[in-house]
Amino acid sequence: MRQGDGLFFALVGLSLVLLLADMATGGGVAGWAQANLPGIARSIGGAMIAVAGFAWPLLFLPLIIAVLGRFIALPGALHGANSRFVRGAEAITGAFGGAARWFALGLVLATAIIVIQRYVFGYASTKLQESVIYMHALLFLLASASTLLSDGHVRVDIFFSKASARGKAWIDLIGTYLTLIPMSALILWSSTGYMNSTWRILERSRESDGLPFVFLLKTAIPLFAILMILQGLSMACRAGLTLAGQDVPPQPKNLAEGEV
Amino acid sequence: MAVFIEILPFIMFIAAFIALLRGYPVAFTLAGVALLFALIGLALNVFDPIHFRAFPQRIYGNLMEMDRQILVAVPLFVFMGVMLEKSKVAEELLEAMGALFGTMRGGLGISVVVVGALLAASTGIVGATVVTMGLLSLPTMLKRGYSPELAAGSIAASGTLGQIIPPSIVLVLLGDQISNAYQEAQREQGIFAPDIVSVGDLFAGALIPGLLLVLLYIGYQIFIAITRPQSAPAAPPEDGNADWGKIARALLPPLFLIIAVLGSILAGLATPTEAAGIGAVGATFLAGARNAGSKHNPRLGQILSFAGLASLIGLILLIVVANIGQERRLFVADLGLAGTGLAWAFVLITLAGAAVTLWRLKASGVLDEVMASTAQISAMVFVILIGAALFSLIFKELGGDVVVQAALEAVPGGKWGALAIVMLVMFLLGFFLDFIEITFVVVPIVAPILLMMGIDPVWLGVLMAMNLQTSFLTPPFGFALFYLRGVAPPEVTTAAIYRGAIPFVIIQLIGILAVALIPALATGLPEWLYG
Repeated sequence: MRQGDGLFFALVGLSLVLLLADMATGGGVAGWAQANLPGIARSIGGAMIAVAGFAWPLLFLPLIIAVLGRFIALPGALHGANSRFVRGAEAITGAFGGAARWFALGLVLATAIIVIQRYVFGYASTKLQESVIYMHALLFLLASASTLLSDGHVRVDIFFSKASARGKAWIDLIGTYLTLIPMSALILWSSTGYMNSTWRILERSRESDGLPFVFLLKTAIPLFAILMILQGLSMACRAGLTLAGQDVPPQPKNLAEGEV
Repeated sequence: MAVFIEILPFIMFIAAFIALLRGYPVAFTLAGVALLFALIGLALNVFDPIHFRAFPQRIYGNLMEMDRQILVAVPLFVFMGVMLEKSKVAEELLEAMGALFGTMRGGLGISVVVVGALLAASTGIVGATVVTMGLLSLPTMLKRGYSPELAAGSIAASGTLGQIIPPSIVLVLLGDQISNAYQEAQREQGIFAPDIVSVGDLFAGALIPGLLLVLLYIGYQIFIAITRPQSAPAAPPEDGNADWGKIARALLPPLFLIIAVLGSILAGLATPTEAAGIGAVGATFLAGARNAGSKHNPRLGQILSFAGLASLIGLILLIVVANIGQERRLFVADLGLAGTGLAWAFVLITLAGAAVTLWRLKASGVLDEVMASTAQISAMVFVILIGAALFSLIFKELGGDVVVQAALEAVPGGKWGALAIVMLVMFLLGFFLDFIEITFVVVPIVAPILLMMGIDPVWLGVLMAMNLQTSFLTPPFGFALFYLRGVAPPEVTTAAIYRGAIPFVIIQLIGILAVALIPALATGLPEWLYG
């Protein structure tokens, strides 16, 4: 088992259980969801806004570390909190990224099955075709944060590659505050109404034989923003520690680079 | 103040450029600059915050809706390319080609160009191609007494072919943007039954110019071999014992994959996405058959991978043969008992082969690497598209498209002048930015205007792709040269790499000029294929 495999198989298992339960009860699960899900979603949305209300001071953690660390030896508690935050955030984004990588294989298999169905048997399944788009969207939205962690987002590195470790840390710290967090915050802020309207009607495919999960697909957009904020902060914390001249937690292993 | 508002989009573009040079990831830098200028616009009362509200819907509509299926071709081609890279196809090809051509003067140079073209058509990942050939071919060429300039130039230039020779990721993304721009241009002109240009059109359009470049590169190798034989000496004959079996084993599988993928797209049989999916499965079988990543060599697993590949090929042939000359498309049910039985047998063997192959690749770790790389590259590409979508949204809201249109129309020389300016700007941007940023930021702004001037969309797309390819090869900032510098031995100086690239830049310019003056080179094949 590698990072994210657990999350992926748990999600697949949960979907299967729900599907079987729905079949066994003759649409009972779907009916229940239709009746209760919008209300539950509203409460969860409210709870998340409340959590954000508590958690926003975390946004300043990297700055405090970078500035404070210049002048005094960081108190052990602050240093510990910082390391715990970095590890926690990266465990979350890593799990999502690791789970999302399976969608790359899913895309290939589903596309191949669609082609064989279509060209050999002259049969097309709207559900399968839509699942390809779902997997494509989830692949890049959920893997984006862990891609940032392994520095896979392309940079213009003409000057960056020649910068010192401190220079790079400055750019990462300032860039996160000026660009990544504002962009993600904009997505989150503008998603409130968007989520409200799609969850209220549990939006489904426009095709009658399509997948009824458009509301879940759209929810991946704010989830992407949350993951990016987490990973951006953790990157800024690392940068802050570098600037303060403190020990930086080690980078987790990047699956894409293999084991050799 | 009015003047300031007028030039605000221009300042925004410059600001983005300067910000990008700082080196923070491009996707977020674009979004951050866009937000900053949206706030300035808000303060000046020229920007309506209602556009912010539409941002999630824009992400959804641009990237995740059913009619955006063409974008799925990108992760599929990436999967195929990374899988082929892991199965060491390039290494074997280079060895086989070297044995075949090496004893000729200039032969190693030609084999680098040919392998570069083959890899371009199968993987299309420029960095990977340049790095692989730089690691494998450069030392061999130097050992054989090639001049460092010629060796470095050939490798860097052949590596960039991946952008122009279809199927390439560049062409998928560029084709998609041009297709959107073409629709927008026709809507602006009040054409209600618009023409559609597809990624397949651009693939067909780029094929002949791409092959033209390959021929010009080979011609240059021959020219050097004749005029300056000491720069491109022949290998001693005992190195040239060409083992035809080995050459066939190295050459045929990737060649077949290329023909199947590209052929089915060009013949209009399959969409690029469908072809890419089959190509990815084919590459997976190939990796399994070559035991990618594992040291011991279990015969049974290898045979099952081969059987899977063979029945996939059989299935494709069955469909193609059954449909030749038919008026309507035939399916298994129309094939009679024998045909049905054969088709089912192929499908079952393919599935069994796929299951065994995937199991073995998972056990050897190759599958995890390929999935993770695909996820990362896919995230890198599409998150830039998110940032660029915000950038071009705000650029347009601040009146940027009007400013650009006015500027392009003021250029003397009509559409030729405008085209020349756009090409020059893209060429210069190509020194600093990757093709993805240029495609997502510049093309949506300029392409509708150029297309409204009556420029053919396929021709424009091919010219842009060749232009960016040239820019990646041009000293001192070309990306391909950086990749090569990273893996070249220290005795190959940076100056030598630069000097070696220059003749190929000139060849590129000749190619661009040829396509510019004879548009039929680009537009002929799509017109002939699709009418």
